Amino acid sequence: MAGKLFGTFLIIMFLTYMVLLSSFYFMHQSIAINVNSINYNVCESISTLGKVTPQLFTYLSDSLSKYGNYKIKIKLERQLKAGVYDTYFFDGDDIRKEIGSNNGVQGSMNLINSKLSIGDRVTIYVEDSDLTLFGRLINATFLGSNSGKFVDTRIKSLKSCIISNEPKDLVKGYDVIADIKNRNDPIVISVSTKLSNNIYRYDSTNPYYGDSENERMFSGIPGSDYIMETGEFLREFLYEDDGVTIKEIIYTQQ
Amino acid sequence: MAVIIILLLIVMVFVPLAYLNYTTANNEEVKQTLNLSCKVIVNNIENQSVNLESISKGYNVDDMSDVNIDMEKLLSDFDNELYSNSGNKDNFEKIKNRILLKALVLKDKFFMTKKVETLPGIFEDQWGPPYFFTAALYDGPEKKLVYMNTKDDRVVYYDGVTEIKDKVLYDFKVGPNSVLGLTKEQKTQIIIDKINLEMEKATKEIGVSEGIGVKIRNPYDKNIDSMVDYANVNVLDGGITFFVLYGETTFLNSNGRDFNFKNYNVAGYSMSY
Repeated sequence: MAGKLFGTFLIIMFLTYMVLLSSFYFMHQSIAINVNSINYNVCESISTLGKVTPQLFTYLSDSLSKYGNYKIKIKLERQLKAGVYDTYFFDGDDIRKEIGSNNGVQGSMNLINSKLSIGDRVTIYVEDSDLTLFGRLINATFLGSNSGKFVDTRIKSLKSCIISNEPKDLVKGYDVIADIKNRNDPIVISVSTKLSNNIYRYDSTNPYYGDSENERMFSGIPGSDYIMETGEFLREFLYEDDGVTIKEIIYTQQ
Repeated sequence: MAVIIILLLIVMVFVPLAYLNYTTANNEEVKQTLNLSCKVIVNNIENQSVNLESISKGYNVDDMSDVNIDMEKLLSDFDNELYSNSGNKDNFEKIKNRILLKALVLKDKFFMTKKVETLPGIFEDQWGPPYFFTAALYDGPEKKLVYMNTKDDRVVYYDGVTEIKDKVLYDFKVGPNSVLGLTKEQKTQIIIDKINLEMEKATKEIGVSEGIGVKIRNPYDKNIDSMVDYANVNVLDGGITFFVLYGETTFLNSNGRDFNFKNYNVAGYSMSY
């Protein structure tokens, strides 16, 4: 009788173990697929965007945090010339601090918002610090003993991408003129034309375009700060410390 | 008895499901790896004037002769990137061996790789000759071999031995008595068929029984069924396209029957120039 009871107990335990093992395995696989997918999507976005934006890193970090405590390491290889790279390593925790303080670590190369060039390479490695339930189950002890071999089933993902597009926010000259006309204080608009060596600023002391000699066409010759209506200008934004309010818009003729 | 049945049930459900799960994850990862690796094309283009006029007919009509693609470096860069994304050497070797061919499509021609045995038992990819987008068209009563391109309707042909003639495609007739010129859609379809024909021949040579073609989108075909069916591969929309054809075939013999599981993938990167 006791033997039969013990046998039934063992069978129930074994079946429970099998059911848990299979369930945890599928959960483990599902997490691995999702983590890999998140990493791939971020890598693809960086490659197409040409820079690592705070939003992109926050997306990576927040999405992974749903699945566990993930460590993020990023390697940036800046191509100096064909086959020659400068390599920089970044830790996820440092990048989080950089985004939080809204400025880079002094004296070091920053990753966030740095303009990357075509041919640069970014590698993202993410790794779970803890084992999943599946990993814990197969490494669990049985009656105080185990096989002595630790099976590392921590979820990892590594993706590497080549930058295929440089970030460019190009606008036409007439957009620049319209922006100067519609400018609101205290935003400053700085324009650098190809004819001028200096940056010409539009602020509360100089609010209008076209009111001075250097901004006009004279006898068919444009002034040094004359904005060609069909010319192309690269637009860049400078923000206040809050990271949201625009402080200055810089237009550089291409 | 009940325990044995439950156990068998668990095993019979768990094992195929686990296999299915693993295969799906693996296929997805291979696709991602190939997508990321194909982007190396952007790093192998240089603006450089190259004079290849004397090499072959067709080269000197190329309006992209100022684009220089380092094709050997492209292959080695692709392998490097594939290795970085594969995770380990075994995975890398597995994926590399299953790549049936690599293709580089330019505006007026395309290239394909062939596997060449460089050392006993070691096969490496090497670029084959260029395949120009040519067609035999009637110019009045005379049939001419014309060189087409994906960029515009300009075609060129050789009058005699060296003289190059330039003409617009609409001036040609599709048949000896036809009054209709070749439309953009027909021209693009000729180019797509040419790419597919050569790919089918090449894949047949390496053992794929019926050869493999790719469903390349014809941007001028406005038929809704074609647009849906051919939406995924837009080789001809960009100026330069590099893509790979990945094939994995698993044979299984069960109870005297042969099962053949096929997994084919196309991944690439297209860029305008």
